[in-house]
Amino acid sequence: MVTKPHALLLKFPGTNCDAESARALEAAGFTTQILPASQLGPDSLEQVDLLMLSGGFSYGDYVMAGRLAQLRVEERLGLALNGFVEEGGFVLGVCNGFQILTKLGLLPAGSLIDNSSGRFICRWTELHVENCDSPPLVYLPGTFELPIAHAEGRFVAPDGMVQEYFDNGLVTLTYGDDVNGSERQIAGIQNQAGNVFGLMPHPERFLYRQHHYDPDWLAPDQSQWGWGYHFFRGIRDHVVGEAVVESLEESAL
Amino acid sequence: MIFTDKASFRRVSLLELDGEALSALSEEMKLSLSEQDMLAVQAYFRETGREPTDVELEVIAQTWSEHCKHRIFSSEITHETAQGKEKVDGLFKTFIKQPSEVIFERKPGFVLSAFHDNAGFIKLDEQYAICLKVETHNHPSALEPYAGANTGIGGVVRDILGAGRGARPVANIDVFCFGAPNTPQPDIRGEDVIHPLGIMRGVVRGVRDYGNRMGIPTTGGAIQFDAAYIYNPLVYCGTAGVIRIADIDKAMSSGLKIVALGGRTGKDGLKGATFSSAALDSDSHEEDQTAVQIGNPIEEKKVADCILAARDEGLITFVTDCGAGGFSSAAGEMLSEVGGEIFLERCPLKEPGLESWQVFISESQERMVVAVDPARVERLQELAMIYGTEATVIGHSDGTGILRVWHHGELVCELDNNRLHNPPRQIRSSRWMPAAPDSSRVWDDEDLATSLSRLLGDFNICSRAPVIREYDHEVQGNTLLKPLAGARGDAPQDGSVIGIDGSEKAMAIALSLLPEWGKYDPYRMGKACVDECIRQLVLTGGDPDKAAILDNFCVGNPDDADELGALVETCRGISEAALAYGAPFVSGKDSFYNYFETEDGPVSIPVTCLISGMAVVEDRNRVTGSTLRRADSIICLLGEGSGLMGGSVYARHCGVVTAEVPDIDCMAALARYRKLALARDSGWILSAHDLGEGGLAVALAEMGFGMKAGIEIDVDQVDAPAMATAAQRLFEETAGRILLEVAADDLENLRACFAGHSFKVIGKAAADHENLVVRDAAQSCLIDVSLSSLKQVWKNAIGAYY
Amino acid sequence: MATTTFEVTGSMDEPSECSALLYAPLAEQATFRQSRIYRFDFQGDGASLKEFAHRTLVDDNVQQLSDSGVPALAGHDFLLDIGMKPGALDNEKEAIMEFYRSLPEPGFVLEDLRISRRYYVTGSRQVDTFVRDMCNPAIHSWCIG
Repeated sequence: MVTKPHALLLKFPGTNCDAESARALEAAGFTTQILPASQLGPDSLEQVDLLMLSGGFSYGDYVMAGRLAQLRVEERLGLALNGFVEEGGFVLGVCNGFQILTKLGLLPAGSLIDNSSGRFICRWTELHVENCDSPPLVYLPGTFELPIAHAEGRFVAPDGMVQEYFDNGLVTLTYGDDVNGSERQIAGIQNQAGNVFGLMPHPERFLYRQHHYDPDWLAPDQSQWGWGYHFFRGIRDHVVGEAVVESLEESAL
Repeated sequence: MIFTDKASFRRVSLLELDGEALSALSEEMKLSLSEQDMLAVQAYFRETGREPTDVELEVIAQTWSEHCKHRIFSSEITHETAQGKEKVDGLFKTFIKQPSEVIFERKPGFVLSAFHDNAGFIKLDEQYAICLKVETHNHPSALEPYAGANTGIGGVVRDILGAGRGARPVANIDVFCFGAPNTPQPDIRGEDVIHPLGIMRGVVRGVRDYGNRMGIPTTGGAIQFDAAYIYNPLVYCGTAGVIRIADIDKAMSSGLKIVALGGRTGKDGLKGATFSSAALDSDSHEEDQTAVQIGNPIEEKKVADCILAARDEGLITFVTDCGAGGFSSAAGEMLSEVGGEIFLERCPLKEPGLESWQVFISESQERMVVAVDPARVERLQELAMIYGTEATVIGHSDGTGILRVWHHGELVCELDNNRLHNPPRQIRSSRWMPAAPDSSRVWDDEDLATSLSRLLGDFNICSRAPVIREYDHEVQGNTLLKPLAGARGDAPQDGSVIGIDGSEKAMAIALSLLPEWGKYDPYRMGKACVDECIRQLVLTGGDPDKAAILDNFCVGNPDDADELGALVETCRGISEAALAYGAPFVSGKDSFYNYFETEDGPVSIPVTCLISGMAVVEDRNRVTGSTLRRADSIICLLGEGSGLMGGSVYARHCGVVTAEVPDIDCMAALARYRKLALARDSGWILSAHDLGEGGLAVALAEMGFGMKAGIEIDVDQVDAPAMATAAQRLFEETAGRILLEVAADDLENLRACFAGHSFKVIGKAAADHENLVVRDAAQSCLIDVSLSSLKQVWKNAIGAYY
Repeated sequence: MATTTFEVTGSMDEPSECSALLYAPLAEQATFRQSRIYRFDFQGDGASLKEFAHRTLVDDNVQQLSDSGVPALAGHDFLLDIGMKPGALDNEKEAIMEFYRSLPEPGFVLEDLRISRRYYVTGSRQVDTFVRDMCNPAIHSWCIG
């Protein structure tokens, strides 16, 4: 029997996508633990293969999205988080998690600021894979769909850096259209080593095919899974270090 | 941490006062109790042989308030119609409870709890039950829309957390009634009245900032616009929940600790219950500012996390929310029978200096009260700490049957709870004597395409996308049918479907309100509301025999016989329809005094009845959208029209207020819906859309907004009286009707399935164009207009304002 | 006790149409820009407070912090500061205070914090209209500059 990789999901006051994220990770072959932030300490990351910061509104996202969570994590984890990353542990931030990772400085310099519309926006969006070697994206086609739901998702990088991010494969995902004013429609990025990944869209909300906004249930040949499943499966195979490859044709939309 | 440092209360001398002086006392203390009520209070204390404390009077005022006791719904009403006078022995008992109990008996084991808990539960599967609760938060939203809406959501979410031993909130629904967003400022005839656009922006943002932060998807709703709501906007907030059946029953017993959980208590939440039971005027905006609280969604999220974790560990014996009346009503609910003691000095406060009564009745947000076995208190407090909130023991149950409230060693409140909960019954009279409808108008229309376009741009019909997109409707990852869907993800749907973790089944949620109908025929409005709700539940995927509904009324001045009469008629309508559909009421609420004294006299809202409902979806693969899926399919219409235009948006556009409102045969409709469920489960239905505001033409356009194909129909194939004009056929809003999209191969099956029912093939999807084309039997083209241009009109109407 | 006021402005912010703030369009073309004002009442080391304000309130990539005491932006017709009135819950303030209380050694004592949004309005002088549509005495206090 193969030991399953273990995922730790941090739960700040106001984190609200932890349960469905855990469900998705378990479907993809992880064991999971949801850890309230009050219980977080430097040794929390022992025996952890994947640290996930899920979506929501940590500490209400007051002041700015992710700021107070960033400060609490720095205070509670100290250098343990950097050590975890340096040793190759995988860190995933979705939506609010992405905002927190950006503030923690674990991702290429940039900020997620108010959408250019000034509004919260909940919709589905087309996504383009910009780095097909990025672990979460290896099983995904060049273009796929996920839902987004955020008010502060407009990615801006310090002057002139964005081209460099594209050139170095740090930009992993872009939106199919201009949903929030992000520079070059950036939806997701990763660090240079490829083990810290942040994105605004919600892969955990498209775990099953039935999650799609137009599930044409009378169409033939359907897999039960949505694209989000393949996203998490990519991470699972990466942290386990073996590709339990399923044929994409068999299982995708 | 802050606590009171001394008891602060007084004895109020009322034993010797006469009726007038008692009224004056009620006025002075803002108790909102009538002279008759005050005489009953006096009689109680004369019997007890002592003067009351101010705490006791405040508690009685809270418990006897319209908001808490629904006194109008239990009053005895003499109702007068053209047929004569009749006695209604309580609206609730006659029209809500009795028909529901008949259905409970007819469907044993379906309704697991109704009327007595925070929300009613129906059985989902062997393991789980689902519930729904809707509340209104009208007056707070009129004074401060953002804060009013966000505390409205917060309150109804706590209702769900306090239902059973703690249900999990899984979806929110929000229904608003506003004045038009383009109302000219000079038309607003009251000082300090917030412009309808300000109300709308504030309310929507309030819902957004609370619901999104709580992580509860807002999956359904409605917005009605009518000038009558300018001064008195309506804000209905609803939450659906899920619980294990084993966690539904809760019972108090002696020897339990009473624990306050969540936020602290402050002066911010005083007098909400009595305030919401009175009419608004310009002074309300000055005086009642303390009634406006702002919600803290993260505090509530922490409380929710803690309650659900505690429930899963079996720590909770009894739980209820701190809503209207604060600790007094929560403690009253828990201790009124078993008896017990509350110690106010133990309650953690936001600020110093609260008087005894203030601690006891403050409605500060984000608080729950839990009864816990003493041995488990420590673990509950540990969980509270883990989730970042507070749990404080404030009392215990003791088996004496009497609730005693202590404050620093002084007994500040001791009431016989059996008597406390029985205010004197009100006697009222009502009347419904409408003018006879005038059916002489000939509904001819030279330019049906323009009429259709105008309807699609009507505020009551156009797309709500700018609002819907501000709500996270997908958090929790279980929204199977989303409020906007179809091939482009932006076409309107008839309801929503929520998957339930741990179950193969799902929950359909739908709602209906038709205030325009109620202006002319509230009885038929009531029936049509129930029909539309059930219809939507069925066509999104629900089982027609496993649906339950909620009644939420907003009414103007109940002291006006005609307004109360409209309510009686509405109740009669929903009652008959509920019985016919076998859909019991499992919860409901009412809000009165929704009127405003303008510079030109009082303006009341029309009687507004929101029927919301939930149904079991047996197979989550059978969730059905309302948008065309194929370019080669057949379009059918189920159900017959009446040609009656009363209450329709089209009639309103024509300036007609005398037309007859259509009726519905609920039994025949239910038979159709059962067949429809059968057809759907057989895989014969590609998509289905209900006919609502704007009638057939609007429904067809919306069905085409997925932009997969054009649509062609023959209006003379529509089942309607022979004399009905094309305009009547296209725009009447008769209930009970559904558009169906089916594959040509399945048509014969469907004909057989619907044999004996009104089922007509009226047209088809067209692959070779993207227009909506309407012809008559003579092949004259009545409408030929591109769906994308109609969609633009429909999409942009509200966006210019919101 | 000392008081220090910080203003946070966003370098990416563009002027927006005033119609987003008002219930009816103005006759004139008017735009606004926004900033946030944080007024700290504190005792102790001002440098520690400034360091706290900087790391809590500012994202250096896209924002600037000013404690000059004069409005950070120029070229407006009037400015309107709107905050929560005393007694009305300010969730952002509570979140900052809670974080402050979690710090083992902040180096200063935070007595109170008042937050307001500042609107720089350009192209209109109809102050009363802005106040009517944006400020609600039920929860807000405001001042015009």
